[in-house]
Amino acid sequence: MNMAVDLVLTAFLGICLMLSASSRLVHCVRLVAFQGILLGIMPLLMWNWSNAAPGMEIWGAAFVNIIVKGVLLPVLLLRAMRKAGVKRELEPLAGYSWSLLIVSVAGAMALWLSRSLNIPGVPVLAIPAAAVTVFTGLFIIISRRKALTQSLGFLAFENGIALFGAAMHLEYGFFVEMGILLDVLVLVFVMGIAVFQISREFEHIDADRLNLLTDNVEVK
Amino acid sequence: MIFMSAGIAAAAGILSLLCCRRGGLAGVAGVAGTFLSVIAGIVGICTSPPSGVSLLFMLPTLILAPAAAVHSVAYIKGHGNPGIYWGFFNLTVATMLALPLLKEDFLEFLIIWELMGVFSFVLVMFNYKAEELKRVAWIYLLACEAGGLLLMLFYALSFKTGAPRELFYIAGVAGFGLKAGFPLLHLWLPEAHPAAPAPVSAIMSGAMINLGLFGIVVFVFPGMDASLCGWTLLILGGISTLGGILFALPQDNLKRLLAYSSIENIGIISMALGCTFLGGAFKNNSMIVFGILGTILHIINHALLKGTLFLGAGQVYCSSGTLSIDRMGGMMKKTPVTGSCFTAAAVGLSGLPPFNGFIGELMIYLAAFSGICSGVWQLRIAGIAAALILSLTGACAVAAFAKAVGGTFLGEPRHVDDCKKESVWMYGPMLFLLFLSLLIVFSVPFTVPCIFKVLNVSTIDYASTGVQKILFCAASFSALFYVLSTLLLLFRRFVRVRGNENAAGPTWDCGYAKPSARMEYTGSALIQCLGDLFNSFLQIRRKIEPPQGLFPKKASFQWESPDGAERFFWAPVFTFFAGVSDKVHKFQSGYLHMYVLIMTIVIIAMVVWAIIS
Repeated sequence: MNMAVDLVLTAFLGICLMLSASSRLVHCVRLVAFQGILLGIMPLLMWNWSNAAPGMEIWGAAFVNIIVKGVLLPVLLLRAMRKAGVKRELEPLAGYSWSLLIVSVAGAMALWLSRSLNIPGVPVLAIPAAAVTVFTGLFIIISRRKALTQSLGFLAFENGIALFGAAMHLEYGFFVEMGILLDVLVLVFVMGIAVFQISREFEHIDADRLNLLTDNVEVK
Repeated sequence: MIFMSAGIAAAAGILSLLCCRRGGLAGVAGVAGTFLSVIAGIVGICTSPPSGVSLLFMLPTLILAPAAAVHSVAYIKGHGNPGIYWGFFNLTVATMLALPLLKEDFLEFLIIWELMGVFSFVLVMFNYKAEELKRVAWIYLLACEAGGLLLMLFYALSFKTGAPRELFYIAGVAGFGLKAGFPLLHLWLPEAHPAAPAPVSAIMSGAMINLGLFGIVVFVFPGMDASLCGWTLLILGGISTLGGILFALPQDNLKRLLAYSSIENIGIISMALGCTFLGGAFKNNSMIVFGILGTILHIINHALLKGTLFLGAGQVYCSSGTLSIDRMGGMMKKTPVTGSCFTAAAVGLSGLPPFNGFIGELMIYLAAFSGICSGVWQLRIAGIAAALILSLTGACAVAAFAKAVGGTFLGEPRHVDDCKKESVWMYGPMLFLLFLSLLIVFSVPFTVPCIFKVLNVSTIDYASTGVQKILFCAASFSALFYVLSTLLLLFRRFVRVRGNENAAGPTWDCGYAKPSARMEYTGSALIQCLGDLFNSFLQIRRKIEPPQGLFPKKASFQWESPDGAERFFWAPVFTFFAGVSDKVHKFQSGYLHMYVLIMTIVIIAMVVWAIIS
């Protein structure tokens, strides 16, 4: 079992690198969807099968996670993409090679820093993998222009947090998980609608040009 | 019963707010509510008397509230929504009546204290359409909230066992000192008083700022060293007194002048209290007795006289439409009763003999002198300082009020053309307050035993100091003065009937062919020599355009004296912080990316810091 968990966690790290380096939005959505499915099966892999079969809530959480993060949200985002007519993130604020470099360095830092955080019962790779996923999500929000890519970044960010929860066997994890899931769902819904509306009004969905409503009057 | 008075006032306030669509109804509810609450308060005091301190700080409100209410009836006509005015007027009165009773629980006190600040804030900016009021309202709100913040710190520190006592003490004194107008913290007084409606200024100046002293005495001082308390009050009060009256001298705005005089009087009260505490610390009986009497008398005198003065300023403003002393002049002809009342109150507040102000200051002088005679060197220093400051202040106060009275009421009108007549609603309350002042002069000798009985301090031996005899002397001296002056007036009337040759002519018609108002001495001209004398302290701004050539056409002279604390302390401080906040504000760029970047950097820094340490 431990092998499988490590495999999944390594996959998380790999997905982060790929996310930071790919410009095609369809590809990114698929990567995040895959991340969601992996996240869904994490608790099942972590379960100690020799003692007893997992309870209903573990199965439930896994199922809901896979459906929502693996299927529902990607489909929504793909639809929004098609409606807004966006295919690629053309001019990111940080180039793809730089992005790859930064995320790799962050991964190395996370691995190095997490040496001192050795928690019994938690896989060694879990904490760095989660931290890197969170960082990648935030990095995508910072460095990409399109609102769609930013909501993808937010999804990845949330996946990282959920990975933390799954790896640490948090108490009441199920309820927390469902609450967060609801948040994300609403956000992506809103983003999907907003992206469509914004693209219709402004003929672009570049978030860095949407700063006209700021309080700071000096900015033009 | 006594709490009911505050309850009635609050209920009347809410009632007035509810019927703010109908001004007349709101006015009736407001005045009736104020009167009912005052009656309830007096009945409550008679049936179940509160402690002496509470009573002392309730009295100014009980006296001033009805007077100000009657005055307001005429004052706010045509000045905005009466429902809002009466609502917040009564709510403020309610909080001021309740505060002195809440000396058991500081949390309750703090809540009501904050409410008082907010309610009075609405009253201060009642005339909110005036442009210059925005700055004033901002300063007043800032002062109220800064005081509240300091008091919350004070409250929090009172629970922490290991907390430094000095911080606790400073937070308490500064928090309450903001209301009392202690030096550097007085900034809101000269701004808020001129802007607020006159009856509100009267209440705030006569009764509200005293509550700051109440808070200090009741909440901060218990458990502290008495000599420390005494020195604090004496030093802060001394600076307040001198600074207040010196800055009152060059002010052109009548109510601003009165506001500085309030700072001065609060300083005098603090000095009297400081003498009392020092007397207590060094077991000097006569200093305690005179100090207590001085404090009590001056609190009540100040409430009565300053109330009269502010109400008079309100009448002057309603008649002439300006508060600038240099623009007015000759108001005595149009508003004779107001002018006489104002003059009488000004004489009283300067501490001149026949009025009650003199008796109060006499007590404080006596406290200072008994300190000098005591033989303890600390008391000697305190006594000498207090007596010196008081005498210098007395002289300056006479000058300041001579300027206020002379510039406003005497001579010929300078710039005011159509001056409206005075109304009985406005001068009635002033006559009432002056009558009470007279009553005090003659009743104090008899009420001294009563005062000490209410104070309930058995260790003080007032009889041995001969205070009653002194008060009798002062009262009989005043009586003599009144009898003589009445006789003189009657005599003058008699003479006038006999010799019918005096005719009415323009004021100061001596030798000039055509005297005009432009030849008059203005208030500023009267005070110029004193302004020059104290210029190193006042730093008066002058703009002089002297007459040039043999046939000069144009010349002008301007001087103004902005507040020293504002100019040299608060303005640099606030400019510095404004600069810092401008720099911080640059972070709010409007770019989502930037916000998330800042957040991420902070989170990463926190994680790294947590892991490393």
